[in-house]
Amino acid sequence: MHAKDHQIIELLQQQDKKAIDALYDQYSPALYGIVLKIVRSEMVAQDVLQEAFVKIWSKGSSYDPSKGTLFTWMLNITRNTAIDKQRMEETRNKNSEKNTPEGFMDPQIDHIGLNAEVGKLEEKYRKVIDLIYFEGYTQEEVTEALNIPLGTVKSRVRIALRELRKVFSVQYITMCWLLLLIK
Amino acid sequence: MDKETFLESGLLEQYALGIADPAEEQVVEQMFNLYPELRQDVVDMRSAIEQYALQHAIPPPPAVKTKIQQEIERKTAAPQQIATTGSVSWLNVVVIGALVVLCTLTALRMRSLQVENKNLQGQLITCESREKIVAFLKDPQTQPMLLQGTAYAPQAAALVYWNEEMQTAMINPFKLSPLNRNQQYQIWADVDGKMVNAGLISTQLEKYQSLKYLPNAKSLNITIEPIGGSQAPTVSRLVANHAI
Repeated sequence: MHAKDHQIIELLQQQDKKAIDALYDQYSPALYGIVLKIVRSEMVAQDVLQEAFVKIWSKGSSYDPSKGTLFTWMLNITRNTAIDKQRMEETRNKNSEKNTPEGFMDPQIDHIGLNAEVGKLEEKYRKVIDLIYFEGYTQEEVTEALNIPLGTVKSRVRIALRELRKVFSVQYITMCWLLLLIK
Repeated sequence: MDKETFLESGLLEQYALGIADPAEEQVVEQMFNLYPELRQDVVDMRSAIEQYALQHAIPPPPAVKTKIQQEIERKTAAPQQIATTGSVSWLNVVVIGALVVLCTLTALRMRSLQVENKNLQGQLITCESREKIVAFLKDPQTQPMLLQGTAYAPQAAALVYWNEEMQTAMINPFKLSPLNRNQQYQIWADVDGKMVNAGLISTQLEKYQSLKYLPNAKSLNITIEPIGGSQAPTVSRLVANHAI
């Protein structure tokens, strides 16, 4: 995956349209999955994905490989686009129908559906990561939303990421073994 | 800043998640120089998130790809058309000029509406001052320093940004807990052995606030005072400090 990235980065930095085709084929499912966790409707999600790809294309020359992988960079752009859109939608809904502050105290969507598929990330850790990564809350806002001290929020983020790492490193090792066996 | 305090602060996770602001990023990158092994932690955390995204991938409908290609086509075609028009009549130039002005005005209007919107949402920092803050934080002369919690408040911490050249200082009270309604945090600088008032931290604890720059300050200290501040610091309620 990363060897291929190298070529794509070059194309992207030269503003070559082929870059977007290649990035789209390789990453759009992962990015769309993330967008769908943030915005509630598929129509909006498609708009967000489109907007994100146009941003990726126009910001391509500013991507700095020494600061992180291309995938992480794209994930961040896409996530931020989705969060902005979601906030806009929320403000609009609030203005039009004065609905209840749903989703603030208790996000309904099972954002990181880790419980089922990957190990057991406890609810309390998951919730903190959900609010921060998918809803764009600052750690201070999480403090208010969940009514827990800032120190606790920080340690939960830390533990959640550590647990995620563990889960995925086990999977990674398994995958490598499988690949070796196939060879 | 030692490694323990830094890890405690949660900045590394914020950086890995891509939600740290420019000043916080700067602090993290300074820590990378001191503790290179932290880079690997970030790589690991990020690859966990990447793995997570890959596992939850959902293919978008094929129409989206076409739309993106069209949009990019449109964006790249637009400037070329103007360039290739060969003999441009004065009328065209005037029309294009007028359009540019109109677009700029619309963009400016949109921008001011956005700012208004932000203000309405209770954000106190306007776009303009935000840019100034970012410029200040990014200035190479701006030194971040961590005010660490005391025995009285071990969990407390705040980041002060100190710029000798610009004679300016700001504080980010990122780890000060909210106080009750009749109390407020106050900052004190030790100047020639005397504690001099360097300003109050707003009760909302907003992220970037100015504080008085005192050229000969030897240390900075934060105490809890009655709302509105005191003439002299209540040393028994010293929550965080740092020697310059």
